[in-house]
Amino acid sequence: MDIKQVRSETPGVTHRVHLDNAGTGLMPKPVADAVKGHIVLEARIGGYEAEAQENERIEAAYSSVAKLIGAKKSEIAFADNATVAWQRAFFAQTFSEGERILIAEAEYAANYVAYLQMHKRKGCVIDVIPNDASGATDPQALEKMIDDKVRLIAITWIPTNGGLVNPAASIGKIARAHGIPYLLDACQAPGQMPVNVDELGCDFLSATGRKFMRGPRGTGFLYVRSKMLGHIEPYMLDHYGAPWTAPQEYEMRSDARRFETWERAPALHLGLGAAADYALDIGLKSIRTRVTKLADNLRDELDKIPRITVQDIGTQKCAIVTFTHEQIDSDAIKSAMSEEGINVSVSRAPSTLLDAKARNLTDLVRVSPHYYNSEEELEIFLSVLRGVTGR
Amino acid sequence: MPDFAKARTETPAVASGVYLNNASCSLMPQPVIKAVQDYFALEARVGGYPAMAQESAALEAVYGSVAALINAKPNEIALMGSHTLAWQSVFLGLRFKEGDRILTSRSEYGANYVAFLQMQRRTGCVIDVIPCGNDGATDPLALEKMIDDRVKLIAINWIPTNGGLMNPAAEIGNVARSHGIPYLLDACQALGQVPVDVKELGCDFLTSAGRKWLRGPKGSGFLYVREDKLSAPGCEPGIIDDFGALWSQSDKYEVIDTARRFETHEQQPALRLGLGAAVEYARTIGLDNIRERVNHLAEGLRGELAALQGIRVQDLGGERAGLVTFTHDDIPAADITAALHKENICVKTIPQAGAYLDTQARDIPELVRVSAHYFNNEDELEALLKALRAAIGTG
Repeated sequence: MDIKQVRSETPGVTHRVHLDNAGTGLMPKPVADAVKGHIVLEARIGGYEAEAQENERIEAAYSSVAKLIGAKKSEIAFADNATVAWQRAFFAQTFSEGERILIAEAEYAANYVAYLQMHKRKGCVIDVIPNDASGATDPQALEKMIDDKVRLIAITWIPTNGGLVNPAASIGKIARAHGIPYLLDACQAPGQMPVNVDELGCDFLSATGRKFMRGPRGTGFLYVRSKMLGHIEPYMLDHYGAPWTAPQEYEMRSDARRFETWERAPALHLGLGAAADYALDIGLKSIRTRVTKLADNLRDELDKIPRITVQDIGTQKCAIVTFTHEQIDSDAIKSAMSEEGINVSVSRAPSTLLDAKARNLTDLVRVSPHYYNSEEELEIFLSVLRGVTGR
Repeated sequence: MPDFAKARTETPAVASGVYLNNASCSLMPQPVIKAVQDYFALEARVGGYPAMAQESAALEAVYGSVAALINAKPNEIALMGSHTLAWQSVFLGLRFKEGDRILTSRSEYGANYVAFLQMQRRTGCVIDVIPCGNDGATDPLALEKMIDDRVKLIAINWIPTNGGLMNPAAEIGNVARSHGIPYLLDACQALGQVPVDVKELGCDFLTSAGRKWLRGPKGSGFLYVREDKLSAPGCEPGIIDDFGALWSQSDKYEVIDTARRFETHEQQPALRLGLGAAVEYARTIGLDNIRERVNHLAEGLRGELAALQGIRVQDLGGERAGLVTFTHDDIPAADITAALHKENICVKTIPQAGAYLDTQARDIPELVRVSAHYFNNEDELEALLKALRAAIGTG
């Protein structure tokens, strides 16, 4: 990977040390250009007219995203964001009283609130799969929980609050063996590591464009396995997902776009496509190698700083690094970084309440380098941190 | 008198053709384009969340702008990714049982009607269409007679996609309020072309896109929820996340007290700022002025069209909006639209399924729709008429 070149294509690196790629990645120039170019075209010739003119490129964006996760183009739906994508998949599932949803302990709040809403509405039960000793969702424990009441397995692959990578593929094997629908929240995964839906064995996968993919905010996508498309009906349909075929009839589209609506922002979709292409060009394997190296080094260095505790759990770890300091609260560390032009973020307990309670966590400082970050940038971060904590 | 010529110079697209498709998606004026682009540039420079923190006052001001546009309070506004998301979020948050009735207009839009049909399949609720008066508008008197205790929602569109009709939204609001029935008003075609006052309309929920007459970016929309609805029990979006509700205890969530409970945590700030800029742009020109100008252009056009042999203006209603629709006795609408496109004039063909109940009742296969905004001018309409005469062989 040519770090110099990827940095030269990332305007943001000349202004900030951006270490919040798990929040939003910096858009590379081709992504920003794709978005801006389409907005200009819309302003010049009109919205639908611009969409028609760029139809081939918009279609190609679906192919690019499909390629990124080893899916077919017809299995991809675009969404306004990852939450909407996930919600569309989740609310398409039907539950009766007493039916069970099995979830991970590190579940993200957006999803958990939706489980609670479904519980309130349908009387279904939310059961948490126990973790193994390393803190990852335990496939063996999952296996033991399976009974004929289990209607859905829904887990977060990489939680928002740490380096943990849950064994999504092992969970997929169990889901498939028992024929239970499997919804994987992969929000933090695409763009930082190779993703292959067949290896994962998931039936639904949701993700955002704005994080490690480096796409624009306001983008997300949903993967729906072909065999699911035979019967599944979205919770929310409009005349795009299901054309109004006769005054009292509608007919669902045959592809995953039944989960979309007619109204869309093509500029953002083009940006998402450009982001997928950009990541594919660099290569997801080399991206993973580089971010893992940066994150592991960072954990090692953090370990050496007195009173700092690295809070990442699991055996396989990703580009998200979290830590706490014994005395200095995480917001103060974030502000000190911000004053030096360094972007990090704070993961708060309510974002992952079950995990936070189990581990008795307060707020964590989250540092998430991407491949375009340099070793020098991490050294700058560490030296500011040493200054802040050494006072 | 507002300076419509200036507005025209601030609309880059007028140089590339005659754009008469403002009811689909209007042309963004320069301040809107600039707001979107500047924010994207900022994000690329400093990162997504830092950019949002830096522009937090401007982002917050968008709620105030939208509220001022419709005479609401900022806490009654939710900013959404599209009209459909806004409308669905409200509609799917309502609970229906077998036999419950949804009353709607004959002119209902496809997106909404498909959602009604889906709800009917799911719950066994009933969709009843409010009859139209002689002028083709939804009839408030007929509505009054339909009310019984099984009516759980009145959901209509104010201005349909397929014509100049304006349904009497405020009279319908009176009926809804006097019976305490939730009233969801699809105002997608109204915002930016007519003055909107939610107090006068009496609606509980109002939804709109940003991209149509408001001239905002695609990917923007908003929802209004009346304050007293927000404090009523059970006012929940169809789908909720941790932005709309606080995950307070492991087994509990509490919806937040503003209309933002209908939003999700993830958002698109650049498009929100574009929407805010579009609202301010419209307010500066003045909605009364816009209404007068759009109506003047539309009425003038209807007069000219009616004089053409073989052309039938198809707009219903007594009071009319800026959408002008017509058919030709022999030439299909799509052929006319294509002929106009060749002359670099942009209009739209409305398929039968855009508003199936209405087109079936009136036995109309498809329509040509012309929608002129205030920045369009008489010369452009003259160019349209000239090209149309040539296309239908009366030129």
